[in-house]
Amino acid sequence: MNSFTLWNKRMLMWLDKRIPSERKFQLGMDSIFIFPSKFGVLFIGLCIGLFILGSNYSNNLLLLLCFFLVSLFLINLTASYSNFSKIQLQIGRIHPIFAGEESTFPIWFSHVSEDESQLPYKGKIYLKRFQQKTHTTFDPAHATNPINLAFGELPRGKHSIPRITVESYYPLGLYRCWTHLKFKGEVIVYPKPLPLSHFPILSGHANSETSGAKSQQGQEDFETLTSYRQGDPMHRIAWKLVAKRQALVSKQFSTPLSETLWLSLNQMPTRNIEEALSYLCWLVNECHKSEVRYGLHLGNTSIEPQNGAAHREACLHALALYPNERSS
Amino acid sequence: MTRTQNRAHLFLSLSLLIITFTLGEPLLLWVQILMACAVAMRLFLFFNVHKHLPSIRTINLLAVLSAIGLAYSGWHLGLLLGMINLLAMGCALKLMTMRRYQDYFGLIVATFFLIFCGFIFQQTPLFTFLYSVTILLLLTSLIYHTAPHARLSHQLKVIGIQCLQALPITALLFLIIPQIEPLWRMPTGKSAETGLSETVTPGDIANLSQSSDLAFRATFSGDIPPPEERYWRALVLEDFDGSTWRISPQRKQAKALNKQLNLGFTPELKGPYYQYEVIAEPVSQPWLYSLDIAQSKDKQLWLSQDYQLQRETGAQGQFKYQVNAYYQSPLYSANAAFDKLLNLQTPNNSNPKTKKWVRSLRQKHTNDADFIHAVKAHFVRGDYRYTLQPIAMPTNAIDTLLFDSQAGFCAHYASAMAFIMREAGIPARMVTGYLGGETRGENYMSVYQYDAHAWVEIWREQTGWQRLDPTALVSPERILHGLEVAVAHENTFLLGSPFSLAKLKDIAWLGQLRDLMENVDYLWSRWLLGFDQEKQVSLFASILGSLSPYRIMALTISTLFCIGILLVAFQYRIWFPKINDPLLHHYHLLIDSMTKKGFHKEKSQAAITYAEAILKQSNDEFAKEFMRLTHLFVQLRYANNANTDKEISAFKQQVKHFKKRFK
Repeated sequence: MNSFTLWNKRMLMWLDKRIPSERKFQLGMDSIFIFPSKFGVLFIGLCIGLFILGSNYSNNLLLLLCFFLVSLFLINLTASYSNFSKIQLQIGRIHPIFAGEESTFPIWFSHVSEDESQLPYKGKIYLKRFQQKTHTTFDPAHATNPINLAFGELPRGKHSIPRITVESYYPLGLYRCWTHLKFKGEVIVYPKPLPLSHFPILSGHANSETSGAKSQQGQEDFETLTSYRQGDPMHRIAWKLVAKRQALVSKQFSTPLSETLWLSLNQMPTRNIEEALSYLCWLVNECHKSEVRYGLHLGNTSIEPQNGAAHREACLHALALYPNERSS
Repeated sequence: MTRTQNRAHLFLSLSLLIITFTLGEPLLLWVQILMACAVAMRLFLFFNVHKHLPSIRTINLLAVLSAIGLAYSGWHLGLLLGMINLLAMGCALKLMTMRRYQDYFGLIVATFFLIFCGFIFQQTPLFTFLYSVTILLLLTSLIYHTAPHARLSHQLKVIGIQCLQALPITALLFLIIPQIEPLWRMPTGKSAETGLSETVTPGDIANLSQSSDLAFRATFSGDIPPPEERYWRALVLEDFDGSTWRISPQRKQAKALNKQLNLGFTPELKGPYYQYEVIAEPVSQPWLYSLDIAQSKDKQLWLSQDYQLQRETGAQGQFKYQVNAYYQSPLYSANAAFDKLLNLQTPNNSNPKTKKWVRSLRQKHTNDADFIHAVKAHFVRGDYRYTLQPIAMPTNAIDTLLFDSQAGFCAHYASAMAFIMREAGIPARMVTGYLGGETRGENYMSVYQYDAHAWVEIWREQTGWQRLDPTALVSPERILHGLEVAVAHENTFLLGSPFSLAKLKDIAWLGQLRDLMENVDYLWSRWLLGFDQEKQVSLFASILGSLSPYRIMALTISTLFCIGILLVAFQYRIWFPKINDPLLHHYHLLIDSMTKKGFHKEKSQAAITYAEAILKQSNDEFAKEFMRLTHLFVQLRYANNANTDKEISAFKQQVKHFKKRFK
């Protein structure tokens, strides 16, 4: 087992040199591997058997058939390579996920979901993680972009996309064409949100900084209309007015609850960092939902109180990367 | 693997069905029915009539029953047929349970094996065509397995192109890879027993006459013998018990002994000879066909002392041999005493009338030659008829023939003649074989089973064994024009098969069709099935001049090279990819040359902006020229809707020119 992982490591190092990471790949001589499949080996065995049978019975038709099958085998070498080398693929936008969720990587194949007759390559394509067994199969003639590749759960943090093996057996299944691709890009895994039942902040008591009568944008009472800004929630768009004025307008509300919350690691009722981060994650989500202005103290980093989708993302990002600070 | 609408499985099932029913005779009927059931099951699944495969328990039970059935009904079949039946049965059962990829691929390989078995038994153009279709179906199944959603027309196109591409490579491999001798003896199946038989009870040959199957073909290099000389000897029958002629047991023993001691028989030969090659249809018996004294260089053949050409054993498939036949050399006896001993026996109490008649005739003609002449005259003058429908002659057949019915066919007359001669003290024996042959083209003739014939050979001290054909006396048409003309008066030719092409050849287009099929079959047998080591060596010799190892090596290497070239040429797109948008392609070439000069184009940069940026950085000639070309490109690309080939090629020329000028 140990030597196997060592071999894998060597292999990965070699592959990093041979097929460096890219956003987009056009398969070619430098990236394609080709070898007879199990059936191909069986097929060669069949040809040898046929040759012996033909010679022993002095049967020219059997010999001809044998050579025909051998010719097919030879032709398929270039045919399957040619088919495979027409594949173009690139990685799509990767959305951050929470730990405990399944990570998926959208991969876009050229020409897929266009007219079938325009498709330059045919045949089922097998996608899987390098050196793993479970695969995703799709037939480009019968699929829609992007192909989502599920890799299972990932721990909290920033992960580069693992090497992906792409395989095809087209046209006769005699050869296996494959490549191990490494896509540029990474996936951010936020901590798994853990609900915190009796957190005092949300009930409006301790540890909160009150900031007087200054009204905050909230959702309680309708205040005014402003032009739509990116990140405004959909439910606040004044759709009736959109129909009239043909521009997006957000309704603004005022909230009497004009508190600013500071969330920090120290407040969490646990010593376990991961658990604490999970609570924080949940809190960030809750605060975002209830439109509270919140800031975040994380070790040396602190994010000023704000609200909105971008702010939430920044906070969750910081949680995901803790304690490596904001590296990206 | 989804179990519904799986076309890979559908095509596999269809090819299994075809191969099972074209294999025909070697397969047991119930195995075929089992296969039909399995295929029906798959069809039900495919068309969603039924949704589930039978349970493993059901299949296991069926498998046990089938195994018992095969053991019971197939134990006498012999190794080869037993194995084929077992394979077919296994395929049928596996087809019922096929679930995983491994099952599918295993079944594909097994079906290929069944097709190979088919080729062992059937090698005619028709069956080759059928089996080719089966192979195409298998390949279609395979392509549906890797690309399940493509259209059938597309799949067939891909397969068709691949097969066409494979053909030249197949031909090269076939010509170049040395034909090797059989490595070991393979089990053979029972081949059809349509040949002559080792015993003749007058009546047998009439049955044979009703078969229009081919017996053999002979290709002559030189003269073709005239119709009355086309006596193809096959068997010599020397033992007669009153009703049946058979090969004498003493002769058999002598032959076996000679063979063991490796004593060949090389009679004295003189005079002209016919030179020919025979391609015999498969028969399991060891005898072969030859005109008179046959001499062959073939090591597998040997001539026995009764001038019978034989080979080691019967074999599967056609058999080809070359012979020189010395038609004027007398057949002297190798062992006169032995021959005489065998060929004077007559059973004591049979055919009393004939015996009496012979005795009285012999008293009149004491000289052998006179006696033979008198007997001949009797057959010519007597009111004898040639018929394929003689009355039954269970006892004293010769008496009945000579004195009652006076109608019979070759075996009857030959039997009577030999009996008469023996009674008169002249050694005589029956020889069976074929008489006739349809000539086709310039130099080959086909001999059919209905050409089977029996005649007599008598032995005289001075001349050896001499042919004496009583049928020639009774019905000269049989000798000169063949059986069809000889029995035209009673219309019994091929009575059992009224739609045989041989019978309908008078209808012009049917006759032509038959001739065409005959010719195709002949060329097929001679050049494809008959391509052997010898022909291959002579082919090499004709290409290379001489067969030195260097030249053979050169030939091999150049053939391999040819195959490599073909493989590359078939997929030239790998090396020269298709340019979908030639205008854009040439513009990219232009950009490449600018990038080499150190001007990198951002992805978001428009063509004109890029050119302007270059112009800002350098005011050289090339920058201005690049600006001009960029404008041209933009105009071509965005101004008109469709570019003409002319405009594109003009642009291409300019790009080329630019690249050359500003290297």
